[in-house]
Amino acid sequence: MIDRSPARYCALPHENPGAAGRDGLPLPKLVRKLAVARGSCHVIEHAIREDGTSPSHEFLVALKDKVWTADPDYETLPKDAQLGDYLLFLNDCNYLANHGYPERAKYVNVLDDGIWEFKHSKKRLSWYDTPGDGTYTPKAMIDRHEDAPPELRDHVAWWFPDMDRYIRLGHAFPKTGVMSGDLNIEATLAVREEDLTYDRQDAV
Amino acid sequence: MTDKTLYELEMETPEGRQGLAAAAAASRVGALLEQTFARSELTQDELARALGVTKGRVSQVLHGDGNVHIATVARFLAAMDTQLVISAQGTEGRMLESESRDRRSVDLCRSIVHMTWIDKSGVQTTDVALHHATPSTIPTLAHIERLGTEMPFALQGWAFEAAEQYQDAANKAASAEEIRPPAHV
Repeated sequence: MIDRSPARYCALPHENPGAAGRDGLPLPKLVRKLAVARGSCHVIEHAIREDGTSPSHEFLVALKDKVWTADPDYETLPKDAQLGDYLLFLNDCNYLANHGYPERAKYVNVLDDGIWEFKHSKKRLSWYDTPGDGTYTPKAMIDRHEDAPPELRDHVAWWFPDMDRYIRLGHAFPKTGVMSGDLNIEATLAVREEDLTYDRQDAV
Repeated sequence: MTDKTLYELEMETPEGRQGLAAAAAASRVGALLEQTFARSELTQDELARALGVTKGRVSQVLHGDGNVHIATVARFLAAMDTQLVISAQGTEGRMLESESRDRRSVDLCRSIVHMTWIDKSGVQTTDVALHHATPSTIPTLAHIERLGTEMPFALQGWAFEAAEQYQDAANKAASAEEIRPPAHV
């Protein structure tokens, strides 16, 4: 049974007066209650916004319930198509958590400034990586095959870099044009900044 | 509060377990086609000609979600000089029937190949594959190494175990390929 309530992932009452959000008000202490997948390589979690909401959690719940209205094909969708994509996203997360790289090259894109995305049909789910201490180091694709780690040289996703321990799912959006669009990248950057603030608070 | 992940929660229900199995299988098939094509050194045009289909169809299958007919997978792999091998494994890791046997194979022995892999994070795992084998199908080091190249792990080592009556055959198979005999366990 999947709990759909925000309390599954959102903030608990404030415990640390040292941290503040962008508006200067103190942020509540956060306990990340529901990881998406956990493996030997990564823990995949929902990024949390300053207001305690989680766009990726809401996205996955909507897909599971087949009611993600931002889907360009929503009006004509077969009944189970969104549920199918939900399971594919979940499978992507589980594979990445356990292997450290995507099973298929086509299921992952790099966007900008360390923002990556999972993709299925016209749905995109952005993410970033962090060591979990409030910092991040943007990872780019490996350009040259000879620079790929030995264990990945024979894999179609040889260009996938070694990510930090925590993968945070950020922002979901429909693929409507050739590029993902600056607005969607900006939205993910904003989610990352707000999400990392919680980690910095914990590190105080 | 539970420490279970969303993935684990889904796996607790029959519907979730079945749905994730279907998603994983489609992803695996897609990866298999993608990976085999990348290694084949064929172009999409050449593969289309070999299959007697359009280049668009080839692209659709290679870059699709992997949810294609088994026959399509077998045809594509065959056109890339690769054979589709199908097996089933119990969720507790027990290997079930993987291929049909003819009625003369009643004296099949069971060979066990112990393979040790190491993944990207340095975690070492051991897979044990069970094969029904006759002297002519006992896996050799060459077979195992070929399998290793198809796995997203580095093969660290392997050991082979066969029923006593087939030990000689296993050693002959190994020496025929001018490779070192497998380490029996």
